[in-house]
Amino acid sequence: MKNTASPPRLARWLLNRFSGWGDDFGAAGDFEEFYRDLAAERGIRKARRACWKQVGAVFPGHLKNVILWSDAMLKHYLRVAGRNLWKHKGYSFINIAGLAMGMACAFLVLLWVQDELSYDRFHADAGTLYRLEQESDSGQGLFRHAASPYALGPIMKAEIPEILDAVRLASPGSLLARAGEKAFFESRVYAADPQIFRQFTFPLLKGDPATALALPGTLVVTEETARKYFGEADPMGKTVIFNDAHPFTITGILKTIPPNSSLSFDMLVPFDFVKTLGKYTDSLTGSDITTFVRLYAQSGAATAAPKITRLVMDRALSEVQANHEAAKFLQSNPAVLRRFQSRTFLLRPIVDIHLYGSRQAIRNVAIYSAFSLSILLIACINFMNLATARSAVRSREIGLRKVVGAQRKSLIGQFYGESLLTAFLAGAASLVFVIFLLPPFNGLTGKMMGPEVLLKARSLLGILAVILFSGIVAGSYPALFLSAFRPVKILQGRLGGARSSVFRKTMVVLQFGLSILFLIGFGVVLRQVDYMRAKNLGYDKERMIYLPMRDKAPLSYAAFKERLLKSPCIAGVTATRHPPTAITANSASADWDGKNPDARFTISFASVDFDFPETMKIEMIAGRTFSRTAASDIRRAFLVNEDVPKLMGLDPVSALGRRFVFRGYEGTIVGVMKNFHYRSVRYATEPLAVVVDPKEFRYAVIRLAAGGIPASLEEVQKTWRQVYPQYPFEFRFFDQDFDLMYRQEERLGAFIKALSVLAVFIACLGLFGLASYMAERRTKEIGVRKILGASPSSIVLLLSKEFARWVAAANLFAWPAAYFLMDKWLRQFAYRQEIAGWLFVAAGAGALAIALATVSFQAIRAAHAAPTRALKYE
Amino acid sequence: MKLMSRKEELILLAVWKLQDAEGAYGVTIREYIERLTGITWLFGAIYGPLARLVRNGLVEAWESDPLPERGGRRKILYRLTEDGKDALRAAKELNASLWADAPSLVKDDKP
Repeated sequence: MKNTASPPRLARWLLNRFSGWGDDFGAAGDFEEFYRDLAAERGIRKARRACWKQVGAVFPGHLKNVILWSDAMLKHYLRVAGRNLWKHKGYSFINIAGLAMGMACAFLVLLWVQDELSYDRFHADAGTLYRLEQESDSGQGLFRHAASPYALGPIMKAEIPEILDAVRLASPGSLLARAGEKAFFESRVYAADPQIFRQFTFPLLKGDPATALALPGTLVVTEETARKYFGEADPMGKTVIFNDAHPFTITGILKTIPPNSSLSFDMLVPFDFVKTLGKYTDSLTGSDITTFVRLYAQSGAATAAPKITRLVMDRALSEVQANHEAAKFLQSNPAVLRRFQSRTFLLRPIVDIHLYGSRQAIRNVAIYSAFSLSILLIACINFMNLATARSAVRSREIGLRKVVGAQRKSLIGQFYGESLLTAFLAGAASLVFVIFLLPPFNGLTGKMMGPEVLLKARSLLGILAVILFSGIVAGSYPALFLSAFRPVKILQGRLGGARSSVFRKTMVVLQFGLSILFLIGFGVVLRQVDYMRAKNLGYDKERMIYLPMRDKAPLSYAAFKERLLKSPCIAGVTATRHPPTAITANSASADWDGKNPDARFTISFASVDFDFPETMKIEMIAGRTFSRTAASDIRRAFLVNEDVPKLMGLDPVSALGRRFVFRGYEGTIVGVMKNFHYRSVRYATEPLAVVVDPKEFRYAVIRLAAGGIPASLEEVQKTWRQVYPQYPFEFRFFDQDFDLMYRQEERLGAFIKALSVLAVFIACLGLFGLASYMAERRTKEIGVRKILGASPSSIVLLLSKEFARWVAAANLFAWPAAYFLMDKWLRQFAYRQEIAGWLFVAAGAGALAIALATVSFQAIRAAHAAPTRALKYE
Repeated sequence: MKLMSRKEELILLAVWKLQDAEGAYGVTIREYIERLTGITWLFGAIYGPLARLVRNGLVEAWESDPLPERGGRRKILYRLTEDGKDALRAAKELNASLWADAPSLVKDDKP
């Protein structure tokens, strides 16, 4: 219950805070009694209102006081800060330039992070949209994926009260789309429930969202897709024919889907279309489509998910029981049954898909944020160091201020004011940097950000936050340290500088430590990428291309191959079920004589054409390759890689001739191939079995003969046109795929490269400032030394020695940190380039050399100055 | 003699009237003056002049014990000093002599 006997606590507090009465008048008690009397007499509401009126009346006076005083002081502080900046132009430049670079880096990453975090938030109902996912136990740990049963959507909507609506999306696979003369293969086609436009914010430029996908034969395309087929002509009402069999009429044009949408497509067809293709059945047992649900409220997610699991369990079981064959299948496959029964449905908020889904973007967000904050920190340290270094100069000013009555509070305010002013100047400069750096940055990150993103409210808030953060971090040490000086000591000139110089040293060590860390990181990433690129794949990927054969193209593969092989430009032709650079199919269903019946081994699988090992140039360890003359080789002979005999507990030779049952194929092992990388080198090679099955060919794999690649490609294209006049010609180089595979690592490498250059530069900027300051302070000492006969080189040594020691010390903490971090990073790769010791030495030595070069510039200047001038100094 | 401000005079008089009856402190003084003048008085408008009266030695303050009806807080009570009484007396005389020979302000049209 609310305490009605006391005035509102907030009102009381405000009155106490702003009235300035203290307790000289018993005001708190008076206020309380006043409230109680009023409450008793005229009711609580009137009493409360009277209270607030009393409080409100206090404000104007308080505000006036604050403004009057702080206005005068603020002007004064600004003037002093401005004068200080101007008087020490060199230091100011170093401060502002360093901070500006650090901030530019922070801003760029801020924009990037913001873009990452903005994924899928453009949907008006983003808060209540969820993707249905399921977790199942395949015997090798829990496996989560975003698939759901075909028929579930409408059933869920009807049965579960938390669910407002559900939209199903199913892929009909790649379709040949023909409109008039133009034909393309479209793989980004979705079959969707018609309420998709209500549930998501995918606005239609033309067409009625309520009816656009309601009828069979309707088609919605994006702007770009429409332009691809129809140019500038109005596409509404035009016909597109899929696979030369299914005519569709365009009933809607989608606005371009924003790049920060995790759900993206080129065409939408009515959901039932996939059923007519025969790819899906109206069932709850499978799980092969994507379902998005919209809940009435966010709070429903926790209760809805278990209900979905129960619903599917009940329905699917009765479905299985009704179907005799399915029941038998489940009985005989305990693993499938187990997976089936362990299915648990979960709802993932749509805004989490990009960050926490399979892409795990949040990891990059964390990594890059940490990087840019480190750079900002290095820049802030410059500011702190130069400010403390100059504290001796400023101390007289502070002493005088204290003597004439400045409170510590106001001195702290002054220093923070100065650092904020510097931070704001640096912020302005960094925004200019950012605008110029955005295009290369976009290239690095694959984003499409224009300068206008800076003007978003969130960006502005972020920028302000970064400026305030760096101003406060940079100003804290001087503010808290300098303001604590005892005025008498200052004015007597007795100032204990020992503490501040320890602090400065620590900070320089930290700066260079971080720089060295970046340098080592850069080296490790670069070496790893080079290593993966140069890794022997176990086959020859040079001059290799592959062509997808879609629709009915595989039927004419034999003719295509025959014609190609006639050309001298073609060295070999084979075919596969999967893209040969990414064989991802696997199964745990393998069986052989003598296998432990309880053990389950996951083995990768590919169906290939006869010439597969020859065309890929895969080395054989034992046995033979497929033979065209042995009729029994089709579907009944296995080639395996060397991991499979290991799995069977045999050596390669004795594995030959063994019976092998896998994925419904039954036959014998006829040959053992040397391990080759059929996936990204990031992953270890796993056991692989291949079999010849002409029904399963989807990709033609071609090795071009030595000679001009363009001419060879020309030849392939010509042959394609002859055999497949109806299909567009598409191809990819193996190399293209490999380039894409390591893109993420290469981006990381490029990013760290830029950061390490920046880190070293900013740190040196600070060091330069410090060195020049030191040289200045020791002018007299140097003069005396020179007169007593010191050589310039000994003076350079004197001045550089100390800095060199700091930078060398930085290695002490940079090395273990770098080792720890990079070792962790490398663990994600199956094949890694071990971290080389020389990398550490090189990074440390490099940093030291750069630091010494920076310092000695100042030192040499100081050493060569005429001693008479030095002695007249002051 | 130093002249008081009108507000000070009002408050001094209120303290004098209240101090032996219900006690003169923030709440009673404010209420009394509000009733008399018919306009809302803020606590701040009472405390300011009271502080000056205390400083000039016309009024003295003492604390009561904490009281339950004030949320366990003490009261600061005020009482006129001898100087205060003199000042009030002087003010009264001044007022009387000020008004003594003033022409009538009674409105003509009223009976």
